[in-house]
Amino acid sequence: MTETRKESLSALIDDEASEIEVHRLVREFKSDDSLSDAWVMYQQVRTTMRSSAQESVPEMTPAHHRALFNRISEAIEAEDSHSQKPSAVSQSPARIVVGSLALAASLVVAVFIGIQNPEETGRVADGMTETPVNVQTVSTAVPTQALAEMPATAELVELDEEKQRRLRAYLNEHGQMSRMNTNQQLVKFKEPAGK
Amino acid sequence: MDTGEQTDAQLVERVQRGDKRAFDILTLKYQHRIVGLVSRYIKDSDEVMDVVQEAFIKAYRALPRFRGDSAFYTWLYRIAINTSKNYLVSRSRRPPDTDIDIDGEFQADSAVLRDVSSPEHMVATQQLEQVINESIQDLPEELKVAVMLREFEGMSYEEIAEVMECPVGTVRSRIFRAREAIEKRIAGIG
Repeated sequence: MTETRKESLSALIDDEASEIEVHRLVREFKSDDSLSDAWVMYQQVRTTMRSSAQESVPEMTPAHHRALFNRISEAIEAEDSHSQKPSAVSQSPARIVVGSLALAASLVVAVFIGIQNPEETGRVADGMTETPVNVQTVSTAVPTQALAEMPATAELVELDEEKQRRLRAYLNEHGQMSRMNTNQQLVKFKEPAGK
Repeated sequence: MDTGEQTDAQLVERVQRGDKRAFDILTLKYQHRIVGLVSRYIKDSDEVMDVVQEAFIKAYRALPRFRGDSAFYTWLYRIAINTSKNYLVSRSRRPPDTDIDIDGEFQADSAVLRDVSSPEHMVATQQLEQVINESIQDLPEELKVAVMLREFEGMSYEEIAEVMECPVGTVRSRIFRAREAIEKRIAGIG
């Protein structure tokens, strides 16, 4: 007899074997004596355990049980009452307020961005070939001269000293080049052959 | 059984809402069974009463966290078993020795022996009972709890699984292994 079959037998004694196991055990019971021996042994163990269990429980009279109940009841009376279910705690008013504020703040930012540059937003919606609106597109719309004359604007405050210096140098160089080439083309195009 | 479980769930809900009287009903309902369970671990009736009281107080305190995933009484059994073990550990005793009576005093009244009159048979049966009890005493803790809940409390595998917080298959295997260990000890004296 295999271990698996004996485990099935143990489960059968407890009325916990599956239907397939029961059929298999019944079929094998006739041919395998070790199965019936194990069955008898398991039953004997059960009977002995249950009979000894009755004896080993300490004797407690109804008066003992009444006294125990009173002790428990008094002890519980001294405890705090459970007034709220734990699930109610997770939806505290503070959490609701914080959540609402976060949602409101997100909406304000979204609306602000939307109305700040309505023309560009409209273009993106109208024609798919347009460049999507982004922060860089907006900043290049500001005149170069104006940029050169605003050393302490909000954008520049975020740049460190080195970056500010380099930016100003580029802008000055660009201004000088523009003045030097006011009447000249930067690139000389080849004259048409027929001219 | 469904009605009983529903009633327990309702009583638990009432306790969670602050109704302490509902816990009195639960105490009345399960006090005897918990006394029987704790008595497997502890012999002295005064100590049993202390441990049972502590188990019920622990259950009351933990009740707000009880979500009803298992039946109330299996949850209560788990608390009672753990309270008993902790008590014995705190008293520096080996947890379940007390569910075993190796004196053999009880054997004369045993149901199995009532119709047995021959002295040889009685001695053999006494010896068998002693071996069975000793082998239960020597079982690993999880095997012993599983077989104890099955044989003494008459719990189903599913209920034992809830108490022991393990799969039903594990319970089945533990009970089988416990029986196997007992059988081997018996075969040893044959």
